[in-house]
Amino acid sequence: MSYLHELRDYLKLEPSVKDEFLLELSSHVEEKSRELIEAGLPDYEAKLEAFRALGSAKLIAKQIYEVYSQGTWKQALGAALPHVLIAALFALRLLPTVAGIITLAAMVTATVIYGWCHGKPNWLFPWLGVLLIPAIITGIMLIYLPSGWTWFAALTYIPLAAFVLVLIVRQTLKRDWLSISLMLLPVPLVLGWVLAFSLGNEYFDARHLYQAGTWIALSFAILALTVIIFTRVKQRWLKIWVLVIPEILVITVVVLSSNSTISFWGWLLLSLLALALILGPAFIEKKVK
Amino acid sequence: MSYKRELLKGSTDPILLHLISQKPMYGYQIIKDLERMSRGYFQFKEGTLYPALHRLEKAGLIIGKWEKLSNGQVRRYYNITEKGLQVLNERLETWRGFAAAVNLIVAPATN
Repeated sequence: MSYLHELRDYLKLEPSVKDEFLLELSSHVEEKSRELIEAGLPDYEAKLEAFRALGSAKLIAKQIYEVYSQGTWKQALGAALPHVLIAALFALRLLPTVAGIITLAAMVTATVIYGWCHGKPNWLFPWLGVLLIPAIITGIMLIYLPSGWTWFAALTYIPLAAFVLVLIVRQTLKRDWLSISLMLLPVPLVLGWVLAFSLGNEYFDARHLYQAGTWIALSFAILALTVIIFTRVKQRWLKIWVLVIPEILVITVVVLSSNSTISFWGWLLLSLLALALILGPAFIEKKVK
Repeated sequence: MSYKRELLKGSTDPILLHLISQKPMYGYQIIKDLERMSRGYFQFKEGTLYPALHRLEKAGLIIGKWEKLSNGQVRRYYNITEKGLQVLNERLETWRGFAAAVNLIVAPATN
């Protein structure tokens, strides 16, 4: 049965598809073993021969992945929708108004709850990533609290935020580390924008968000396009490159439009952070497994 | 024998569609029939049949349905769809034309 455990580890599919596929192969092995036992082979050898005849678990996992890895256009657009919404709201200067924030927060929360309770489909992860944005901004805003309060807030906020993030990551790692990379895509972008508006200032001025609305819209539009291409592309290695290249491009857009607030070193740090967030989940998955 | 493998790659879909068009079949049954009907010529790595079946199902050419047997075992039977029949006929037409053209070249008709 270790063959099936090994195959389960290699499979990067939605849980319902994974379970059905493994059941189908399991049924195949059972039937073949029974025939071999009737032909005179001992139990253990019959099972071994049945598994051997299936071939490489890694190859099967790769082939079935390519069958299901390409989402439909509908799924691609559904996955890109949160970034499209943010881009549109900034372009129309409806963000960061209170009405815009509340509408976006309600839509994203409702969609995430729906997706989480309905099998965590692949389109859910960009929505989860957008849900992380308020948490990131809140964390950075802690530095603007009156002195003394920053440490207290950090000691209570950071463990809670880390706990929620670890919970989501652990659940997602069971399926595919690339989903976590997709989820974390907006993080360096949001960090970049907040740094662009707050570096060198005593306080964070929300007026900057209005002024840079077009650039922020552009950066999220690039993210939306990234998600669409990621969803439509079949090969795994290509999906990784589709995440890396636009992310660096988006960080470059943020730095260039920051009016030299973020230096080259800031660009480099943000790019390295982006690479760590995209590729880091692969290492975490290896450690966990 | 990578040439043989390339030939098989291009022929897998019509072969599977044709078998399934005859009657509903499950994976292990397809493997055995393939080997028997081809007199041992086609010997799939059994596990790789299933991604091919799932690919055809995702394309809407076949449809899978679970059935529970009296001994508690479950099997996923595949049936061909209308779209699958159409594609099968087109592929077979192409194959016949191709095979005929190759035969004309390698074994010219005698007068």
